[in-house]
Amino acid sequence: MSIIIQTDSLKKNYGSKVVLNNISMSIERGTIVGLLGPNGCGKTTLIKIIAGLVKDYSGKVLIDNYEPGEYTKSIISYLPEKTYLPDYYSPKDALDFFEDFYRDFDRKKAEDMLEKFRLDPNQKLKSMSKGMQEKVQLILVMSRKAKIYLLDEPLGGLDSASRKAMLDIILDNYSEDAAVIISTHLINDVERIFDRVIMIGNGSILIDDTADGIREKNGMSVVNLFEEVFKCW
Amino acid sequence: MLVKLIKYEFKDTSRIIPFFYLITLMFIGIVLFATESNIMWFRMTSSILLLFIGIAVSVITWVIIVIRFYKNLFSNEGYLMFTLPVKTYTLLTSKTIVSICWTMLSNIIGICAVLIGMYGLGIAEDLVLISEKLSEYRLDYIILCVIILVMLESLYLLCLIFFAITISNRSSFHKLGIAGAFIIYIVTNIILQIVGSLFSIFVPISLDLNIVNEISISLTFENMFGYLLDTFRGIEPTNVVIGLGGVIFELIMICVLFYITLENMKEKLSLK
Repeated sequence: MSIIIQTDSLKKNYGSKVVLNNISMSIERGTIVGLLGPNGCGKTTLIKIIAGLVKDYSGKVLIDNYEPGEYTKSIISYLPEKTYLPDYYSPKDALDFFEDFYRDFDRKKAEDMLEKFRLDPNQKLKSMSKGMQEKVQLILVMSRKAKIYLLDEPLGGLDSASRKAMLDIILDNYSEDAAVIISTHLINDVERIFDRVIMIGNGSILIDDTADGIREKNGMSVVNLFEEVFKCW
Repeated sequence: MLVKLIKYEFKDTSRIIPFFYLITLMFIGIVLFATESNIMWFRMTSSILLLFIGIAVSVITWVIIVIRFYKNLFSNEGYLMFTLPVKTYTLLTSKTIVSICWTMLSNIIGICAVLIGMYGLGIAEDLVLISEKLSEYRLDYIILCVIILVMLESLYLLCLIFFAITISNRSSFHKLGIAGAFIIYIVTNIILQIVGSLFSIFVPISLDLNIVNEISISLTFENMFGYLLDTFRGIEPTNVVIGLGGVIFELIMICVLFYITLENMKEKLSLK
């Protein structure tokens, strides 16, 4: 399969703190990648660089052979860990916004999902619970027919029922030939869907292998390996 | 995409700003009613309040513009705006255009409120007198010049504020938080004021105001330095010379600040 994301000697500092140190990796189309690591290990920064939200890095980043910019933003569907929609928006306002700016946005699909999850299209986001807001955001992101889905902590702060619902939204809606990167530290719920796992610690890649490869080589699940690696982190 | 961004910028800002116009219009109505009613304390109180509201409407508009710029681009909403498939200059341009429109509209409404407030206080006749004098000396165009200068100043201030907020979001300033924007604004403003003053004094293009004989204004290619020197020496000058170098400097700085802000958004963006 062809490579869609490539980084070479990627480095990023915040002042004297090294957040990403020499990250070189490539991700193919059609794979679901788990980007795993403890809080503050550099997962979010790596995702933000790929999404085009952090520009002051050194090294090389290529998305579908282009540096992060207008084109790459048109093929990346990004879910940040924060609530990024204005709180005075209703889901309907957000749908209008996405429809205006993203050519690959499928409004019908988004409306169907809102209905399926019993989300009122006219209810203001500020009057919704955090879980409801996150569902709205994920519905928007997964209603695009993107080449890359970047999902940063999509399950953080949700109860188990909501986590299952979120995973269903992801699995039912991503394009088969797209690359999906899911950053999380809640691995129990998502291990089964990963094709590949990249574990990051202290800004460096510690493990980069297929999920099956990890299980075979180490004789343990991804969750167990994660706990082993980051036990004393 | 620029048109769409402008549309959303107007849509989002028009949730708040027109509310203050409504309050101003309401008070204009009260002052006009009070003037007709001839109840003196009511007329004076409402007119003074309207004067304050006229000034406040411009100030509030500026505050809203600044908060909107920061919130929409450099807080959580920035994650949405900076991942839109649009050219970075369209983000900055849309905000600049919409902000200028609101500023101008607020200035117009503010000035109307102040004028009606003055009318309520019974001092509007002085303004009519000034206007008649300007017409008498064929200097009506000064009003137009003042309007252009106000627009220029607004644009300059806007570019400076956008510059300060954008620079403060570089990763090297993250630790300072919002205070970083204030510090950058104050330091940059002081430096630019000093350089702007030097431009005003030494650049050889000025307005020459003859205030002794027949009142007139003309453009001259002399600098302001000689006039200032005479003033310091205690020589009473027959003409007042106002350097235009500062205005030229501001025009240049509007372009420079806009360019630096844009380049920082494009090349040095680092959302927290």
